[in-house]
Amino acid sequence: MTLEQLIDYLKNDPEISQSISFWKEIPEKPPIYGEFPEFINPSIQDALNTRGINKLYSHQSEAMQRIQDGQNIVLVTPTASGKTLAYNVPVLNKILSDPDSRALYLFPTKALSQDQLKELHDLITLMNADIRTYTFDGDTPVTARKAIRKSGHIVITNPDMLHQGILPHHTIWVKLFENLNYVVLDEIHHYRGVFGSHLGNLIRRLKRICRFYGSKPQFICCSATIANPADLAARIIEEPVTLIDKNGAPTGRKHFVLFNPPIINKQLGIRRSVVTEVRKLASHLLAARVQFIVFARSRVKVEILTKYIREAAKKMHIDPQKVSGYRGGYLPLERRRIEQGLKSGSILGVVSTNALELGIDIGQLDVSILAGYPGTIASAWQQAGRAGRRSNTSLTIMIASSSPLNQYLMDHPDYFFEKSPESGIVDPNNLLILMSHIKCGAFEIPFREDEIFGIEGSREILEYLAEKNVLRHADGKYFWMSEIFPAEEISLRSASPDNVVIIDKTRGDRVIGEVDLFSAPMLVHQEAIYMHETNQYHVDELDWDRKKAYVRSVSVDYFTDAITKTNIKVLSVDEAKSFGPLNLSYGDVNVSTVTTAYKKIKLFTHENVGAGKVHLPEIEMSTTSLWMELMPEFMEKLGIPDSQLGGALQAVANVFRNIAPLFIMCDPGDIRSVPMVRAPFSQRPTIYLYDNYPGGVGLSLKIMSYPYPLISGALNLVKSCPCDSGCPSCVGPVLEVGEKGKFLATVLLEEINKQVNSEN
Amino acid sequence: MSSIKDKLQRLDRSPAIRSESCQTENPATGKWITDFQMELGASVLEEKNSFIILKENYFPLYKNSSYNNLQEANYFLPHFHYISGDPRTRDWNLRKTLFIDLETTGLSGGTGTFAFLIGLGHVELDHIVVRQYLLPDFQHEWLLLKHIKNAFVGREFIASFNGKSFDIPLLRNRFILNRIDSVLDDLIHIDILHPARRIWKRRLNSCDLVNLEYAVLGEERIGDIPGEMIPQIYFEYIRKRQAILLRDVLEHNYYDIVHLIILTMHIGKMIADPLESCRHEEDLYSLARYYYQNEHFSEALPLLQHLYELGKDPQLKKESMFILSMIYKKRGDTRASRDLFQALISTQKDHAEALQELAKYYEHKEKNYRSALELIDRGIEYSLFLQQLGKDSPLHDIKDDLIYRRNRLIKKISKWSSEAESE
Repeated sequence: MTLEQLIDYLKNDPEISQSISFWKEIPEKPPIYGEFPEFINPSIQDALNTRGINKLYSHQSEAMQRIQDGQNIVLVTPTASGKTLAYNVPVLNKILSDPDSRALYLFPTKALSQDQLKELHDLITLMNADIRTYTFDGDTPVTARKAIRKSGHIVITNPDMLHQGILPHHTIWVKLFENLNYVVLDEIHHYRGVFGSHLGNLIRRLKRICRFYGSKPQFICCSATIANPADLAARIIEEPVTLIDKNGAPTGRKHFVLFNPPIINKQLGIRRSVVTEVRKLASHLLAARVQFIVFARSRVKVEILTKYIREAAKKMHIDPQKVSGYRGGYLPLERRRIEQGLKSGSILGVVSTNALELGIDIGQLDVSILAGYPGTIASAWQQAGRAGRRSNTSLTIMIASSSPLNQYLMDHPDYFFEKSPESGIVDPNNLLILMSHIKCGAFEIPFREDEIFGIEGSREILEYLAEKNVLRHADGKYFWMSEIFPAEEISLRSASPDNVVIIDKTRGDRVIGEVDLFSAPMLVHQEAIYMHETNQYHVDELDWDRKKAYVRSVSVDYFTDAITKTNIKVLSVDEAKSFGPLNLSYGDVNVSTVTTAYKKIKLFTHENVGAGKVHLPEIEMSTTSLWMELMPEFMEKLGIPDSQLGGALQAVANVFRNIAPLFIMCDPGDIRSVPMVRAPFSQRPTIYLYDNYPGGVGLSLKIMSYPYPLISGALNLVKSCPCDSGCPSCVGPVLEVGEKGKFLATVLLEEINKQVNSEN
Repeated sequence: MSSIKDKLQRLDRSPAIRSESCQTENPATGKWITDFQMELGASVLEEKNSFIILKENYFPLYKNSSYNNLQEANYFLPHFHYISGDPRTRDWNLRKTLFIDLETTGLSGGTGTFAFLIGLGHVELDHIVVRQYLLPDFQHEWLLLKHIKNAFVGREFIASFNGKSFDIPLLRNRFILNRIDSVLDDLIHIDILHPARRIWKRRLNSCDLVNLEYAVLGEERIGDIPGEMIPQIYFEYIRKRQAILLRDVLEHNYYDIVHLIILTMHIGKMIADPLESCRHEEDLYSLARYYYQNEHFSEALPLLQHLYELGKDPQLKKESMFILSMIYKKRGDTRASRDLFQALISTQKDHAEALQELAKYYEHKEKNYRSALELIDRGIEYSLFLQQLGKDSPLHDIKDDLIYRRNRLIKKISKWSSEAESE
């Protein structure tokens, strides 16, 4: 069966077609070619010709021209459009003309570095040139490091290694920093939120060191499609950047199917599981012998799905080894083998985490199945891009789970297909993150009094650190005065400076996850039932001082619900907008939460079957928040009884929090909402939406500056959810928001939307 | 107070490092500088707006037994290159050498670690001169480095203890950061840690300097400060500006240098005449073994012969026998080598390497296949006997090799006998 025939079959099969909520066909696009710039050394062109590349796509040749002109660029084109070539050629060209020249490549993961190294090696071998490229990361043998520092023309590394292994030791990298011409930042859409804010500071440190050695590198950034690539790149490198986003690579015809499994419990809004649906669809793909990839949301799901699909293959007399899993945690050699198998066609199907979403070369497959919405529209397109050889038809099927975001997209395909994807938001000036990197910077090179790092007020941070005796202020300079190696204490990736690690004691001590400090008292207090990958765990002990929760796998018929008191103290109002009887404000707040007790609640019936006390300290976090105050005239108009207002506000707050990640590129845990019937600050009904990171990283600020889509999106979500009176896919369970919660939330959101969007 | 600091106070939950403020406790300007002179007997070196502290000390050598030999050798340590592993130390001359030891603001390295005290030592006539250059505050580092650079003028060697991996790279970082060309790379660097380990690792658990002083030189430090406290002491001094706080650090560094020099002389003396000056058979053996591994056979031979003939430790004796016969073999004295291997096997039946060596000798040199087979059969028999020990059996690893040799020998013997018959 050809892919076209398979597509026809899926469209017409009565059982499958009833689950299809939208079928989008995107027509093919012919290639647009560009000239080979004449400044490119003939030996590179010859090498490319040998590899069968005789022409450049328009975006590649434009990128080379801009780079030649000395501009910083950000290149935004889909997966497999030849971005790598667009920067490798100018970098190699520069090294050919100036053998002292150096380049630094930064990839978010080690696996990508390896892939990149191979590609460069192949090209250099064909060119027969003496250009040395190395990866430098935790796996690099100590014996090789010296040679890399001295003679590596292109050093490929990751942000963590640059942060801890290279910048703090810049004096042994003199050759690199003195001659650094290009810095390549690939996959910059990954650098968002906390990680991106750290990266912005890492680049500040890198540039500071380059200035010390007298170099001024040019930045070449690449990104998947996001709403604001140029803005994100400019925020990270803090220099003007030229956007190149006109894709010249051809694309084949694409079918993009939104697939919503049937409802099996209307009251709870539970649908048939994604896993079941993937298994069924995969059988059809196997039968048709088309090559496919399944993106699962977690490592455990990868294993389960691989097992299921292999079983299906066996029944159909297909060698089960033609189906493979792929995820972090597999050995590098094994991963190479799978990548190779996909390219050669010896592997028919692969089940992967988002590890294969990044630019690792696996060739192009026929079908891509997204087992659940991957969290951002940008990711969804990246994953869809894995299917589709340049000239052939391809198929992507996104299967929805019951979560609010998934359900929203199923009901609003226009949103998914028409709107541009999310914005990547970073705030390199988050004070805590900035201070962390000022410490690292002071360790690297003493700060001058008149030096500015990031913000005008950086001097004040230096003073603060000097008062704390971390720095020494002497003779107009700030010197590092501690025996601590600061980069070692600062992780670029953790969402919070402190996390509680969850250790499963069922079979030996195994770390199964972590929760941020602020959520830990609610989720992993003693006696809690902690849910992880759909498994239940009982928390035997929470060692608060050591930040460890010890859990054990159980199977019980109840869950626990922590009773917490949250207080929000407004510290400053930095911005305020008024929409008739509605006030929207933004500023600094102090959030304090204390968990005092928990309830045991029986699954399905929701009976209260027990309770207990929790003794944990109150947790405070200073962050940035947006809040919405409902004025008396607003409330009068709606006439919601006081007894039901709490549930209604909770319902609205839940929708806001659930849907916010659609508009700002962040993980669901990055933003929190708290409703208050009578907020201490305003004495009015208020909903707070705050960044779940000390100091804030710009998420609530982004919503403040453009609140309209969030509010209309929230209303649409509630209105289109088929549940009767609230479910976890929209306003939250009835138990939490009350019998009338969903109805009242609709009323509230209708009015809020009317007020806010009437001014838009 | 500014808003940024307010916010930081709120956000930052890390504790302050010793909250005592430096402003209030500061002595009157200038007084703390004269304290270096008054209380520590140091002098102040000034240039432009900077200054550093120099403390000079002497250590008389007459008490030290190594000294006489040193004078005889005219400051040369002629045999040192056998143990240093660096042929450039062939003409090592103490007159042209500076010994160095740093005290630093941290142990993790990296560009934020300062060398706040640089001790340099050298030998003059009958005493050691130690000059300690101290950084009174961070901004004067350029002047410190300038003096260090000048101190190296006319020197060809630099010697340290563990300087290869710590002191020298760190000092090189400091030069680069201050944009001063470093002279370090023009000097031949001898890291005494490595020869010391070669000699004493077998006998002593730890080869750090303090332990070597005690075990080798018989010196014990009294009231010495632990190394890991040194950064904190310096930071406290910086905050309080009390010169006296550094007294113990200066003393610690002074003894590091003095003992490093004495240890070096001690090693020099040992190398020059090991049989005379080595009191421990283990040290002698370690030295001989290192010589053997680096093919200094003439130097190794007398030591091994001594251990073989007069040694009291039976284990060392056997190991010496093995190396000795290996040297004979390499020098072509196959008979002497064979006799020794045989003697060794008769005292230790499970000496795997000797067994293999001897089998090789019979098979390839003498072409005496029957003797070789006999020997291997005994070895196999014994390895079967030891099989119950599993991997702990000394013959475990060579059993397959023995069987392989046996099969080959049997083939050779049958071929040889059939050839003999046909003649």
